[in-house]
Amino acid sequence: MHRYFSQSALSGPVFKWMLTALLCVFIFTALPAQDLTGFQIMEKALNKSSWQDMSGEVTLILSNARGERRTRKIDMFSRKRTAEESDMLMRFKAPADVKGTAFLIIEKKDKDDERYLYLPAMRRVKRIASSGKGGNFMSSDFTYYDIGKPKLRDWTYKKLADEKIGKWDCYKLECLPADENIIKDTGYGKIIRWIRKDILMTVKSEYYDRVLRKWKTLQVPGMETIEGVWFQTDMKMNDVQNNHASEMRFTNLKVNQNIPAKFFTQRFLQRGR
Amino acid sequence: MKNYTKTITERPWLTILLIFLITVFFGWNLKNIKMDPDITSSLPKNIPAKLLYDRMNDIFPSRDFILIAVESDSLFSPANLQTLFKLTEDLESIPDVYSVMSPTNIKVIRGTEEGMEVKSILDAPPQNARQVEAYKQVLYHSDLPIENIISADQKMAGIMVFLKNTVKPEDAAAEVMAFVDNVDSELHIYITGKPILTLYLGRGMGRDMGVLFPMVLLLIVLMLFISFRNIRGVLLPLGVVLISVLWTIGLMAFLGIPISHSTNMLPILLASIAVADGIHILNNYLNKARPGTQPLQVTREVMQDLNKPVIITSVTTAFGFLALNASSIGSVGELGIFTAAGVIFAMFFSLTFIPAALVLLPLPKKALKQSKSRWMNRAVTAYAEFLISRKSWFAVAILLIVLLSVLGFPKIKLENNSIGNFPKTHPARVDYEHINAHFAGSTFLTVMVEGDSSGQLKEPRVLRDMAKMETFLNRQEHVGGTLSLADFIRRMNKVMHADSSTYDCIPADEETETGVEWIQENGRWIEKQITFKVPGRALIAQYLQLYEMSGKPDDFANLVDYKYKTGRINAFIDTESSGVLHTLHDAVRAYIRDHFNSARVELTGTSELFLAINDLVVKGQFYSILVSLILVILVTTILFRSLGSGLLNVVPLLFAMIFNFGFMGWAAVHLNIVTMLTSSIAIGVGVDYAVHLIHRYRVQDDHRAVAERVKRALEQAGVPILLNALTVGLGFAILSFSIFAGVKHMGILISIAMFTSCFGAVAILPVLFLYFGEKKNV
Repeated sequence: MHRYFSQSALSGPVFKWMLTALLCVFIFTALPAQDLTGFQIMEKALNKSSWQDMSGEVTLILSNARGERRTRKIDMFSRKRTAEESDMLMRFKAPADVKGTAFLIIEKKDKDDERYLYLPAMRRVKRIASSGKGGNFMSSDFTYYDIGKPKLRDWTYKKLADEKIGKWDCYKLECLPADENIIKDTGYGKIIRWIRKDILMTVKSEYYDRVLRKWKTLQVPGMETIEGVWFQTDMKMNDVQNNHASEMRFTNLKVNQNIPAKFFTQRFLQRGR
Repeated sequence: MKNYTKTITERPWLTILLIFLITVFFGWNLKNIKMDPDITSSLPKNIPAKLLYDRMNDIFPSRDFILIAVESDSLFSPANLQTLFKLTEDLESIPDVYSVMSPTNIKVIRGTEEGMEVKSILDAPPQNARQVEAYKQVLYHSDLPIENIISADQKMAGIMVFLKNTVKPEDAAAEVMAFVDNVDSELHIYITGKPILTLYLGRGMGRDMGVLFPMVLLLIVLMLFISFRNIRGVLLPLGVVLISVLWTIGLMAFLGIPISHSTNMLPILLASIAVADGIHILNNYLNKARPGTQPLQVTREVMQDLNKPVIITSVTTAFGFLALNASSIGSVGELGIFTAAGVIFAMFFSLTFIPAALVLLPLPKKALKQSKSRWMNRAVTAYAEFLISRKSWFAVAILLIVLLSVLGFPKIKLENNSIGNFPKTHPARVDYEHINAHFAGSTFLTVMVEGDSSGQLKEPRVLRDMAKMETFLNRQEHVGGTLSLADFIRRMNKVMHADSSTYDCIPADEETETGVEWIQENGRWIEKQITFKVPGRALIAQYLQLYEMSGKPDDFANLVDYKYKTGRINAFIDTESSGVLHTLHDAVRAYIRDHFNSARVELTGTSELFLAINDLVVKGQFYSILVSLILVILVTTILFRSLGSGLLNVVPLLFAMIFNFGFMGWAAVHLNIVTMLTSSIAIGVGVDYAVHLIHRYRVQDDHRAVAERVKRALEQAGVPILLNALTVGLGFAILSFSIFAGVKHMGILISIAMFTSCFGAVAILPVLFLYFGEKKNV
């Protein structure tokens, strides 16, 4: 893959929807600010600078109440097309019967994202109707919303008393939806976030449904810096209502290799490399 | 025995205190008593259908469902759809509900120009006529399994509410029912399904318990008062009844045995039986208590007379009930064990509490009036003389009755129908019948398809077998619809091929596909049509992949397990009639044997459980009759030290049973899990009459003529036998006030059996003695 990439400058904010994991930050932007409001903390966390493109290998592990597992291995590539829109391509390596299927997402700022799946068994690209931000990402417990970057003004923030998660001092924010549409769109009536003070990365979240029953918890056991950019490299989402869990692990992460735009087209999706 | 009576009568206060303390213990335990009205939970664990039914809960997140139906002449008005939409959403948010399938949220797989779309049919309720039309178009023309969510006449909408299997179905049902009761709507709402019926059954049982038990107590008080016209004559036997029932239920609570649909009848049965010994003792006491005697002396004399008969009749009755354990239906066995325990408790109180109380009480002021029993005695004498002079009439009449009864046997119908058990106007039945008349059905047959390895349920041949199986099932009468993974695969295959009906099937093992390929021609990339072969398995896996891209993690969890190793087909059936279910079962079995060979297949579901109960009823019936007869012969042979007498004892019982089954045949009373109890109970209780008569006949002087001995035996035993049969028979008849048809029938049957076994004792036995009496040792 390397030969497709060359260095390019870091630029712009926002990779809106793929992976809070991929939210990144210059480690130095974190200020030891005691008197920040909830809104300011979130603003800082969201406005961290980021990469231009990235790639990596993802292992997605789904498990049900009986402890049975479904494991998928995926090669993933992503690239910022504009300041606020990114494209992503995923190619399945396992399990065997879906090997070669590939998933392309073209992010659109003001309308539904375009999503395409290439099925090698039919040698066809199929468009997948957008199920909105609240739809499940590849049948996992993560929704597209969960793995994307939230819009600052979609929520109101209340700073709760600081807490320690593991050995890290964290801000604790209560996020309430700004209006009914957000609830409808995301399915969430409330989110509690724990954000590390030093690097402004979310290390834990609790998601509540529209009638404010606890629904899901996110834990982030793994975080790494790649070329100075922080990544959540291990995320565990646990649906406590349905006893279902999903875990996403990232390995072999690389950033800013100058992945070309044609990488994220239907034609490329179908043709393979 | 004498010493024992002596001990009791010497320490009356201690005796009563001890009984009181134990009563307090059991009474305290009563608060722990639980109820388990679910008939299927008493099925033995080793029944394959039951085993699999329980195992379904390990494989799938939901098993039982409730069917709610909403009725309106203008179902598709925006207002009504709005209500339905809201109702669906609200039901989804009930914590014990796993998922909901309704006309407003059913998932539609749509083919689009470029691919496939899977989503709920509605995002929001339609606002106007145009939107309603568009919605109806999609609902009726998307190949959806709507058999259980829209009635054919378009006037009813059904909502299938699948319950989480982590909760007790009837608890979840109570929650859903409470919700539905509080829905504020003009629409008429119906609700049914096995959990709902179980809930209603439990409520009915509670009502029965609350109404019938006071009724039987009242009856007992009335009978005792008429017999004795005396406070102690009422209170002492009543005390025995109350304490023995309390101990028995307390014991069940202590052992953690819930009240079931069978043991629900226990208090009524036990009360009727428990009162009998007290009657005998009081009767004897009041007869012997003359002015100038001492209570202690009279009591000891009475007990000396009655200790033995009380023990013998109680033990035979207890054995009769224990024979119910020959049935492998758990709750029936429990009824046997605990009624037997109750009978022994009652015997114990009759032999301790009553004498202790009698010793403490002063002698009654008035002696018992004899006039009443005098006319009864005259009637019995007249009857005995009539019988002796017209013994051939009797013989012929008896044989005719037997013949007529036997002719009724083939008419007996085996039918366990929990819905037919409810009165016609009961909401459980009204709703069930209305819903099942308009939808696919609330009873289900599950065809479990078990592969040997992960992913086998993605194999085309397995899915093809499943699809064919569904076609077969849908052709069967009373099957209103089916649901399985194969439906989705078939639908996806079609959608993925431009909705072409040629692809409205499961992919073949190897499919020929046309697709496009990008090739470089003259330095330019162009699209080119190509044809190629692909394994059906890969197609299916990738359809599922495509589906999952927009689905939820558990979308198929109720149809196939996580590993795609085990799946199920649910067929919805609109009846619980065991006859229909049996025919269906046989047809399905035969079909599986001949046509389904790609995986292991087993049957379960509520329909299979009902059938299993049915089969056990037949087997249990046969064995429990056999066992109780053998026990009766054994006990009475030992008692009379004569096998002949032992065998003779069962003659009136055989007659009572033949009459019972004949009656069931002619009067169309179905044999079911409740009415099957009749025979064993009748044997245990009814044997007393024969014991009394044979005992009396044998103690007559051998030198007298047979006719004279028969006459004397009848004179001595006739009145007590009749009174006993009357008390017990009327007590059991209280059961006919139950709201449940099965219990009602049983009350009637068992009352009749009391009178027929009584008739057997006072008519058939004497006639036998008269014809064959010369022989010794009868």
